[in-house]
Amino acid sequence: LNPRWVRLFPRTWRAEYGDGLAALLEETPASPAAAADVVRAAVVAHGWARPVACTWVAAVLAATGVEVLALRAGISANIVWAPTTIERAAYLVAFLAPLVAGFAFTVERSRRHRSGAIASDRIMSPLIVSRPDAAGTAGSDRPGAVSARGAAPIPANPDPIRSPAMVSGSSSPRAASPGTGPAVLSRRAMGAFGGLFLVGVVYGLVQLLTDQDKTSSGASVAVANAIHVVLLLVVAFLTVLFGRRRPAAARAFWLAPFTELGWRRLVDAWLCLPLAVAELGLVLIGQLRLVARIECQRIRRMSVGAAPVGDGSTFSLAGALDVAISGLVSGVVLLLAAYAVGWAPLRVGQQVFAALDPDFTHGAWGGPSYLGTLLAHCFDAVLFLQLGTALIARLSMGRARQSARALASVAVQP
Amino acid sequence: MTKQRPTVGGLGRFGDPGVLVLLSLSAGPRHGHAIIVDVKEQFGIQLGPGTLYGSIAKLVRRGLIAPLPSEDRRRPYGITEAGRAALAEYLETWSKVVQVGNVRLARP
Repeated sequence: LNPRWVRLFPRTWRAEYGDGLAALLEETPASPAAAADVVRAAVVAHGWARPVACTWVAAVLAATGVEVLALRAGISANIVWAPTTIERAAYLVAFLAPLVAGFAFTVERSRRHRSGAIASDRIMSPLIVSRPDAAGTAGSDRPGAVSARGAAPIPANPDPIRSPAMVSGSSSPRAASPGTGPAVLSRRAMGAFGGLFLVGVVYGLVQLLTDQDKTSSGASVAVANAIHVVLLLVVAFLTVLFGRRRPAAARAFWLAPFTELGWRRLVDAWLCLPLAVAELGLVLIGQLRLVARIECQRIRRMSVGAAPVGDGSTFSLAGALDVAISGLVSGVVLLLAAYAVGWAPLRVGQQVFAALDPDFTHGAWGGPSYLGTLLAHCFDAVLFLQLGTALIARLSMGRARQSARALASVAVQP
Repeated sequence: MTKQRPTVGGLGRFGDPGVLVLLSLSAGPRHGHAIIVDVKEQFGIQLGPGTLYGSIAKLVRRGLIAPLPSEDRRRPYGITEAGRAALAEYLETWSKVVQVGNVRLARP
């Protein structure tokens, strides 16, 4: 057998047994049975390496199985709701039991991790939660700050935006690209997303309580579900592929909405269109210096470290007009992307209670079951969150560079 | 359904491949390929490479065998005292089962 089959096993497992197994595979005659044996062992090894994830997969599968059985038996139209009969009550218990067990296992595992009872062979995610200081900047991402884990000092400008001097042809080295250091999580971002989720929960509860019609139409959602399954497989495949080649960049991509920089970009996306309208008005009345000041502040917010300093006294009319008009165009797209990002946690929160109404789940993607709808909506939310954040990052960076270029030709100090 | 009694080191919980590996290593330290050859010769059972290393990983995790230093890629493993005790207890249990089984099968 080809020793490359060892790559199927988890990295930590390979570090311990990889060489030995590779040597053994070289001595093993190739056969379908031997290959199947290696694949089976690799799957088991991955399970051992991720006990919590495996527990949740098993719990979700068990709960789904209970749902399918209950639907087939006609105990429930679609969801676990109103255990008015003994069968429905038993169904409710059977549905919740694996999920509760999974949760209990996760909590217990986490407690044992904290107490040091489990010597984890997996490196904890190097996350740092930032605490905004009085100036509004994340404490740990200030230039020269040292991360909580004692990592190397964070560079002065970790963002790809270059200072105007650099954009205009300076020989200064390009700043470090994102995704190369530990992700800096933002309390403000997580608080905002958590708040939106809670708003969604309350909205869903109100929706459930005010909806009197409990009958379901039984609309078919098979096509939507098939699309979701295919999408899920594609995303999982790309995640594994990309995660293996560039693990740091993959981690940065998934954490992007919750980082300090991601939060600043999201705020900028919300403000871009109204600011562009205001800038256009300022240009028309000749207040170019004010436009330059707004753009300087934008670049300062986005570039974290270095920022242009200037009064815009010689900001040309053409440059200011260009910045304002392009801001109108990109502002519309940014607003839509920001809406998608904000909508994602709201929709998941709404699902929690609103989906207890059969009408909600029967016509919904992932329906008719509660769990299927929840999974489909969570998956959709993750996609919207990530794609919206990526689009915002791309557009806002381009816009900031354009502003920096326009300002670089005037009074700017790097 | 009979529930397996937890034995020393939990040997009874993962069954035959682990026992075969322990039995092979009880004669002396061996690397993976040598274990497969020994098990095939002694018991006529062909262990797959994945099964073997899955068992080795579990036995190491439970402290029943331990890797030995080697300059070769083929790292040998040796049975520990805990492994010998677990194997002895396992065999004792099954020797009673075999004994009773043979007696009952011998009856007309």
